[in-house]
Amino acid sequence: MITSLSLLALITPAAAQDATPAPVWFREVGAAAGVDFVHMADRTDRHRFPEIMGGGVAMLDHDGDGDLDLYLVQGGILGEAPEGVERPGNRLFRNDTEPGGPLRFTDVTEEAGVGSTAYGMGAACGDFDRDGDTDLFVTNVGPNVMYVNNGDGTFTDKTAKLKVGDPRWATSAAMFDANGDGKLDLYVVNNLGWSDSIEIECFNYYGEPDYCSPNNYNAPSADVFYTFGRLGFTDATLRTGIDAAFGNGLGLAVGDSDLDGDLDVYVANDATTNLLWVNDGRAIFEDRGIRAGCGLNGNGTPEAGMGVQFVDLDEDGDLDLYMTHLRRETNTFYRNRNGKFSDMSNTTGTAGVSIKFTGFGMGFQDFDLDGTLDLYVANGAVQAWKESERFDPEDPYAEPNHLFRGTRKGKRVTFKLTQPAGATPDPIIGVSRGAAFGDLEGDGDVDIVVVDLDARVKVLENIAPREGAAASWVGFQATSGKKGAIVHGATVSIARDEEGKRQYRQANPAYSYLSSNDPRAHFGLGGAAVARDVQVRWPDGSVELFGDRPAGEYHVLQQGAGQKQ
Amino acid sequence: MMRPNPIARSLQGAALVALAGLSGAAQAQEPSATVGDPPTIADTSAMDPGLVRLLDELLAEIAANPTSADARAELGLAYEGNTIWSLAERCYDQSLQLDAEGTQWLFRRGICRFASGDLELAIGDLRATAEVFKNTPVVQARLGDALRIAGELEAAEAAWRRAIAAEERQPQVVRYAASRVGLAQSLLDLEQPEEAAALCREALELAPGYRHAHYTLGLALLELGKDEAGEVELIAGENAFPEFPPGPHTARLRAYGRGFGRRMMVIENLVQAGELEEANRRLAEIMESRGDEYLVLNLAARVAQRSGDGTRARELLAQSLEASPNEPSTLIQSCLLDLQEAGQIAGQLTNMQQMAAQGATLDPAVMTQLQDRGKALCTTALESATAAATAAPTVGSNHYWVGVSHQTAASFAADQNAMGQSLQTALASFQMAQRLGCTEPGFNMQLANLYAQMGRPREMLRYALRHLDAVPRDTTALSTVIQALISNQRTAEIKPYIERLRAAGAGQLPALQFCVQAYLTIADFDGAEAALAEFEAAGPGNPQVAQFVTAVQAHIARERPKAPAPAAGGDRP
Repeated sequence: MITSLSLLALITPAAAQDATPAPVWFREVGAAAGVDFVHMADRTDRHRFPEIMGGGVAMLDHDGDGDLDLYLVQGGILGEAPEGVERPGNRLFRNDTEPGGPLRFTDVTEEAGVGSTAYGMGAACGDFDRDGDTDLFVTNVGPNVMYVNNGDGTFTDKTAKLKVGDPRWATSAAMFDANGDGKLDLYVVNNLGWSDSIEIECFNYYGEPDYCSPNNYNAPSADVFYTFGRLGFTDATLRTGIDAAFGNGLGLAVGDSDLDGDLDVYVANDATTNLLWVNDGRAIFEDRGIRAGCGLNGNGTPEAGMGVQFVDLDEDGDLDLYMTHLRRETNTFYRNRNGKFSDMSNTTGTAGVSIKFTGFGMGFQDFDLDGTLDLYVANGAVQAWKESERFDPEDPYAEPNHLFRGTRKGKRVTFKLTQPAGATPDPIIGVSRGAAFGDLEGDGDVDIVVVDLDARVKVLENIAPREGAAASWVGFQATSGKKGAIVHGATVSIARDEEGKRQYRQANPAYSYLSSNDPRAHFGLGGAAVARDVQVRWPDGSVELFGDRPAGEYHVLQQGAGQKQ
Repeated sequence: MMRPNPIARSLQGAALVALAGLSGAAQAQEPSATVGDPPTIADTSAMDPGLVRLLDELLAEIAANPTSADARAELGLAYEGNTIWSLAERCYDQSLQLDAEGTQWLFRRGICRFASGDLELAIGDLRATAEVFKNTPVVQARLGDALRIAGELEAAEAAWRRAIAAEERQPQVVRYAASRVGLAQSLLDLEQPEEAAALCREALELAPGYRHAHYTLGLALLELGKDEAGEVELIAGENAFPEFPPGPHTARLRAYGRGFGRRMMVIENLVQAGELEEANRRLAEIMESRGDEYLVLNLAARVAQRSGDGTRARELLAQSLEASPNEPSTLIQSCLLDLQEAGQIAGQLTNMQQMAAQGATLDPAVMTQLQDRGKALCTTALESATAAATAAPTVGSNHYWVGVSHQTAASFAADQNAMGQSLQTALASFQMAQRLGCTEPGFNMQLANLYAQMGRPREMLRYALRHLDAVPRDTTALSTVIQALISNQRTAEIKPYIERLRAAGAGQLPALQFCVQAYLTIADFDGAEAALAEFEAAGPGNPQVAQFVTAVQAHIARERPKAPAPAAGGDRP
């Protein structure tokens, strides 16, 4: 028989999470940089479902001056505003950072004309009309809004003219060229057919009133797909087959999952089967989610899909998928092999950590420029933590954000949680939702903007320590056409070593949660002075070679200017 | 006084021996001075009264036996059964303080820590438990699961192998499908799909239809490059969830699940299973404290409806609408109640018409009465569905029920024109539902049927195929696709679907009869004969079967082309 002493010895595990001690990687500079946006979710004791889901952000160059501005989507007031109460609106902050200076933003919402006061969710950006500037689409609980860029940093609301103001509750959206005509089409993810009248009372694990699961409403909503052509946008949902499957949609990623020369769409649904819309090249889609092994997790169970990214984690040239999920579910990694996916979450090093938290915004980027991707996850619960368990006594839904440092072991890249949580001096603990990723200062590293419910937005300036003088970087903007329109969904690759191994990055703003990101592909080079053998696989499947490019710069790769493979 | 330890009794084999010794030690243990008060919930005012009562009872027992490790653990089980893991964990902590050798509570604490997401702590507990209960499948399986998520893939594989090996060492050998699938998953992580596939097949032999095994087999087959077979398995495994071998606490945890949502779900399950007496008993308990809430009233109406008491169901739904006016789910339930009765009447009318066609004399007054009742029910159904669609216009299923109401009304239409109008209106509602997204599982089939009624075979085929996509082995779905292909005169494409129907409907007379007829339609006499033999074998001694067989055999003898005489020269044009 085992004695009590020996048994107790057996049961005493390491008390703390196995975390890699790491220096601080990010500094929160929102207030100092002039970004004074406070998200308002309008949370009430009625626990209306949309209250707990919102908060998107877009990084876009709205004025064409070469740096990334910030567009922050406001919740505000869900439903009718009480008399005399002004609705808060979305805000646009122009990036006025001087070269080498601290981050500096100026609120230009009013002059830009983009201050929608609807109850907002997310944003998608792109030059859909190919006139050389970036347009802005905003999703709402209620009619969505399309702001068309006038070319001078101001916008005109052309929602009605373009007929894209679908009134349902939309979440993520993306602009991409689905049919190879060079123009950006628009995919809009819808969540529930929500209205106040379908709100119901639900209870959490403790039997107390709390937010419902979306399935309690039994009202998942079909998505909307608009093609853009000579006559503007056309609702092509039925014609393209997008009505054939649906769920409680939240996250959205776009990429060529089967490498057949067209862009496919992946929709992360909340507690319903995820959708992989495989494109036949003419923008006719078939949902292959379950058949391709990425509709459900490895157990065959639908998970609460939130943020999602197409990313080549195993460096084999195809796009894998990574998705954030609810507490008691892992964040899930679907490895891609020939367009078929396997849930290999347990091999990443992130699964065990993630089951305690609810992940929303997420992004793989090489934050420390060591040549290996890292992962940032913005967490925040959707059901209250009990008093004794709370991370923030004031907000039962608050959770810490996480940074996972990527390390390469042989063929495999694995990730380890860093401490302090989120790699900021004081852990960011909030009800985090949208997170956007991009180089805000133009200094070659990737910064993060995180939106927390009912809190001031966090602007996380990247201050990750470099390995001595070894860190270096390179970035690429994929463009096409006479006006150099930004191409969404091109895959840029560079040679990683002498043996011909390559690294692949998407140039695509559509990933994470409710957010639009830096559309450039970014590589850490770990000290190399040159990015060797740059190649681009364009969304139409064609491949061009662009030779070697010096580190420390953003390069424009124009379609047709490279050497055809 | 110590409560007897029923859980210890239920542990089997070598584990039982070990535990018996440990329990003896526990009884002799002196109470710990540091164990403190049991964990409680400060504010229970918003919680389900049934759960609060249960917790109060168990707390009272602890107050009476403050040094009882089992009493603390019992409270832990109650918390855990209601997914209050953090408090359950603290109860098991206290039990372990009172009885450091109570390994079963260490096991439960590990499970709770795992559920709370404290993976490393959980693995510590589960590893320690697994050292003691080496031969208990559920303990090894739980450890394997936790290790797998922690990324300790080889250790996870070893634990799952131990879980399977332990089966042989039980007094009664029971082989668990869940353990084979668990091991298969570990092997997939380690990129060993062949053995994983073999284990899943073994699991399916043990538990045919076990979804988790189907799904894991599908993933293994994809890895092996067998895409087509893999896809079929993935679809068969949709909505699976992982299971474990049964544990000693499973029944108790289930019995303690008292939260409102859980109690409602249990009643729903009882209703679905047809156990109406038990459902009513449990419902009465809920009605006592929450009988004025629409969710409870609606559930009571469903129970009444299933019990055949439509009048009571209507009363309850009326009360529910008083409690929560314009509640869409109540309105849709009212609509369903009316449509169900209308459907029965439509069936009666069809039977009567068939009898009349065979020469029976019918009472026109009865026919008219039924017609009027059917129409009236469709009208009220439509009113309810329309009210739901008005209250929640962005919910696709509300529009679907408006469409079904119109479609059902077509059965009672006075003439072809009126019927056409009803069908057209139904289509408009279905299209709205389609655009918004409709969760009703039979939606595509309903659309296929509607298009069939409207004489639009192309659309009928489109939606029949969509429906089949979701339920690839469903015999009705396969039959509808075959019918649609015939209607579209695409007979060349029918044969694979007939073969699928033969496989899916093996042993089922209606499906096999349909196959015979379909083969005859495409003049595949060999296929017809083969299906006919299966049909005959499925209904031995059935005179109607024999009659059909004779008729088909005669038909084949008559219609089968004679073997052509050797051609004089060249191919026929």
